[in-house]
Amino acid sequence: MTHDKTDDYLWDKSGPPDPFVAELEEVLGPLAHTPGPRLKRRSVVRSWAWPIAGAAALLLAIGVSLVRPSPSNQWHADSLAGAPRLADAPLAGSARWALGAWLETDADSRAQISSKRIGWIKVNPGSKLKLTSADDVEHRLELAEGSIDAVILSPPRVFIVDTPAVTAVDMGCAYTLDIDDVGNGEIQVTAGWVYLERPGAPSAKVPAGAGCSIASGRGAGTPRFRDASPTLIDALDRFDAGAAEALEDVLAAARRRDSLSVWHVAIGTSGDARRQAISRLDDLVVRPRSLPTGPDLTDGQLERWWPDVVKSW
Amino acid sequence: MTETVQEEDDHTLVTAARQGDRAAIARLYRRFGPVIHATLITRTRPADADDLVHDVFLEAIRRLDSLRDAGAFGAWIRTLARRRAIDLSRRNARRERSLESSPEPIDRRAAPGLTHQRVLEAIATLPAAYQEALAMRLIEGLTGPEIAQRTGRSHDAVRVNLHRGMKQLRRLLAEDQP
Repeated sequence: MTHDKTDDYLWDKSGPPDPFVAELEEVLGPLAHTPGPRLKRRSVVRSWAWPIAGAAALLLAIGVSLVRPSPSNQWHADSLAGAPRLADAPLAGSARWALGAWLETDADSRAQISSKRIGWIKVNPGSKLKLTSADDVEHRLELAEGSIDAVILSPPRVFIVDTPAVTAVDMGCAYTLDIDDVGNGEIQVTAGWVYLERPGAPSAKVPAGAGCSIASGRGAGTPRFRDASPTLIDALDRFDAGAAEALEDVLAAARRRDSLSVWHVAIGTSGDARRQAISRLDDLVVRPRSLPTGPDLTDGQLERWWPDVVKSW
Repeated sequence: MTETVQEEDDHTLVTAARQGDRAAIARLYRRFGPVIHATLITRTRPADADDLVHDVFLEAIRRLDSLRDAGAFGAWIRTLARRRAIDLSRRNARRERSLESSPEPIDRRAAPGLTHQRVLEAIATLPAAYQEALAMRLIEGLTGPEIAQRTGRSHDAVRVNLHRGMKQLRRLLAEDQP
């Protein structure tokens, strides 16, 4: 098929530019998709300039610039809809997200935050979060309330989100975290894993296709696959809410894949409850030979069983 | 994350992404983000398109196991994007009806010359194949060969879409000028 040579610029940008095509590129180019900050758009807001006047402001600026994340660790916030606020000022377009600054969305606004090293996160309406650290070792956010959809591309344990009830440690790589203003909520993992951690409690390990409730004062509930039966889900919800008698229903309703939940019940309980859960786990997943027989296992022994639990799915 | 010198094909990336390879997922996003965006921006408002790229890509990751031919990722993700755009249009239409408001008429005399709004409106009247090709070329800056590679279409097909689409667009915008 022969081609009109005058179309070369339109085809592969070779040859002299077609003036009309070039004009369209100039008009439309700023709309191009970029996963990070839209550098072609000017950020109108510079209002997070220091609230303190004079020399004190200068010293503060120098101090902050010394601890400002390096370019590869920087975060940017983009307004997607409505009027999100960054550091108590309207966010229009794109702006750098400084350590300690709150990003807030109301019921009608959405934002996206991104960092080249970490990935990108959509901030849904009704959210409030703060960047608390961003360095070569760790990037950490505080989610006071609201919902975020995260796609994380950094290695495990680099990206962390603190909520009032639990700390969500990314093990890779996509999830939605939804928290109300007192720390109740849930996490749903789309790809990879997220560990929900709380001092003094075992981690809740949430894989892709699974979710977990989060309760203020209690921490993470029992992870469960989204395709678990309604009977199991109902029983787990009751068990997580403190109804010990729901344990029998949980164990009865669990299929092989629900060894995810049964394992977490085992490691999260003690005494008879743990023994019952371990006995049920034996029905669902072959116990490693290195473990002792019987229903009495320590946390460390249950952790050694975990890889086989995962493989069984 | 470091870029490999030689780009993997879509099949390789999708296979790795299915196994949770974050670098592969990142490369898929960089490669197809503009394609998704171009598909969306011809059907939604620019601000909605930016927002939906994220949603479409997340949905694609979630449903990656359902994709039978890993090499057809580009065509498949464009289908997901079109569906999202249709869903959004329906929701917006319902919302506008419930608010009993009608969009303000656009005063073309107010801003002579090309604006992105005018150009997008003109592109939106073209056949879908021309719309997407022009959006990928003029908005996302992809070349014809890149468009062919990422959409799975032949070079000839993309060239025809660009040529005919541009011809119609030129005429529409010339008619539109005062």
